[in-house]
Amino acid sequence: MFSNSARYFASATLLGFAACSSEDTRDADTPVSSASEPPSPAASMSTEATGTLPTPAAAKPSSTGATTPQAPVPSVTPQGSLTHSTPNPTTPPPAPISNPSNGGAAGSDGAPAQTATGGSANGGSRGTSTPAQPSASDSTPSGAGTGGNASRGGSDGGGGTAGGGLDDCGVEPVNPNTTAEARRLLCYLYSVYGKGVISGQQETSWIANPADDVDWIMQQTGKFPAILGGDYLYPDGTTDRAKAWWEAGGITMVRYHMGAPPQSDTYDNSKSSSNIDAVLQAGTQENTSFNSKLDYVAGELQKLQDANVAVLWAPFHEVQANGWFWWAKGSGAQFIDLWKYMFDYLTTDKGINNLVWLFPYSNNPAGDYFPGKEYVDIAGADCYDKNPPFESLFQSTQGIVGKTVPIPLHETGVIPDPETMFPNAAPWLLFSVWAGYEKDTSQNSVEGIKAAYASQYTITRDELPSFK
Amino acid sequence: MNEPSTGAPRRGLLLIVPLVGLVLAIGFGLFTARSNERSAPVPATESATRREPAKVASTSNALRDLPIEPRSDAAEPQTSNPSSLAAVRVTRTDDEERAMEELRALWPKQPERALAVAEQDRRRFGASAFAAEREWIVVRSLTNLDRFDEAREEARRMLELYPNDSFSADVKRHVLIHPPGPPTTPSR
Repeated sequence: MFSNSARYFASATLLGFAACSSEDTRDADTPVSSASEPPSPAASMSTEATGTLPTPAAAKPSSTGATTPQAPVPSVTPQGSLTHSTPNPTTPPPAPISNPSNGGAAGSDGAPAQTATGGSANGGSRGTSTPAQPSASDSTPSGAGTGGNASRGGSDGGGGTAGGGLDDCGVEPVNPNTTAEARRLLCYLYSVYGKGVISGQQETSWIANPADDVDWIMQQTGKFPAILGGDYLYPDGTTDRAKAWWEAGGITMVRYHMGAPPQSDTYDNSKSSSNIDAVLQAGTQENTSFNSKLDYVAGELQKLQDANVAVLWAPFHEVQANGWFWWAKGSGAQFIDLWKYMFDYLTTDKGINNLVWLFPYSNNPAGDYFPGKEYVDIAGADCYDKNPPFESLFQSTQGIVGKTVPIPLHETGVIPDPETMFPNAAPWLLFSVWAGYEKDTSQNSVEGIKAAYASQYTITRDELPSFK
Repeated sequence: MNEPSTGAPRRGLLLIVPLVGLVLAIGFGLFTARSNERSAPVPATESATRREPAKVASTSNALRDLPIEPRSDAAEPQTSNPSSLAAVRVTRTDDEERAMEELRALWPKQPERALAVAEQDRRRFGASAFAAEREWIVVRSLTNLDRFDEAREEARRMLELYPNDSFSADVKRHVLIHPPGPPTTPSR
């Protein structure tokens, strides 16, 4: 009588818990600006941000030349110290990823390097502040400020270093003082968006060996995920592991299950409630506590900044109405004020400039919780349904954040099959599997993980360019 | 040219057909009435108590002594009459849907009240199609009240009862995976 779809439909608006499958979320009360229009970030990107981009097939290195053994890659111990592990010798070695950002595209696929047309702006969409309303430039590939960089593509195909493509891609970070490394990372994210998906894995921070997740991925696939996710709820070694991962050529992503002010930081307390108005009012106990927590996290991020490490910063995750966590239990306006407060505190007051600001929706994105593109470098959603690639969630998120902002699947249980994501179904920028879910056979099969990591679209750590 | 030979049988049929119909209608009515007696909605709590007494073992203050059973054994009216079964289902689900609407609106703002209503609804509807969602609301309400230990207890019970439900998966992820206490080195 009542199907799951009907139940989720009923739940979506009132509970804040919605399925993120295509069928179900079409019914959800989420703003979708152009649900019938297939997303075309690749088309947008080709003129807005990067100028010249390879075809999806060219976004990954070919298997040719796979004769060189892969060098030992650094891993991290539970204590955060750097060690080295030897990857599966049967695994093809990494080839320079042939994306336009590392200068390897032209050389590796034999195509001539192309010159981008366009200026230095990023389409004019950034800096606007109209939540839930895609800007005109979002859907107009030929809009003002077509991006691109003439030097992209490189001449030798060697790649491996940032090169001019990542230094000047025309994408302006929301923090004008963003470090060079973070700018390169942001440029890279823009450059691959719509053409490939960056693999990611959240570590199980609370166990003796937080590296167990990524080591398991390596054992199964012969590849490390490109992104290692950490959580500043667990301060022991998180910064050290993030630094080690970066030094090994990876991308670091950090979240923070902050306890509800003025309570201490525990996972339970992150689900507690707080008087958000008091949190934002100077002089209150809640505000003092909130500032103290931001001071703590700023201290950790400063260590990474001092080491020239860029960070995908994903605080206040699972944003939605009636969310699980304290920051999402108030109104949209309150959440936006929280986000802006944190942004200003970390950037202006604390001088933290090594962040790529990732706005992390839950599986039920709502426009009135979006702080605007002037506070967000990239913005995505999460989904724990078992029927990826979650097309309608991608579309509903895109309906809020627009077509130029890369959209990550920043949390998931099931690794989506990249072959089903591209070119237009749900071209998530990245996927990040939650801690332990990669080994949960109710979520993923080993075969599925191997296939995902072997996909022509999936970018692994060995395929990243240098952001240094 | 006339058809006198067929006129008498036709008149006979005109009398017989209504009589047969009347008899059949009476018979069907009696049958339906008896079937409805058999298929009258049995309070789910009674059914559940009878079937799965062990499942009642919950020490939660929020939902103490409430019998429940796995959804696969959802209490459906026992009847052989499809029409009466459909009628019962429609009645029960309509009522429950209204109750769920109330519950959904209630828990974010009045979690304590939501717990009381959920308890009533569990007694009333038992292991119905909305049972897992109702349990999810219970866990969310307990969480909003900072009654985390009870929330965990309910979450474990919910996972046992509805192991493959998306509501259970959501509860598991938010309640049962992370260690509840402070990290080894508290951050702030």
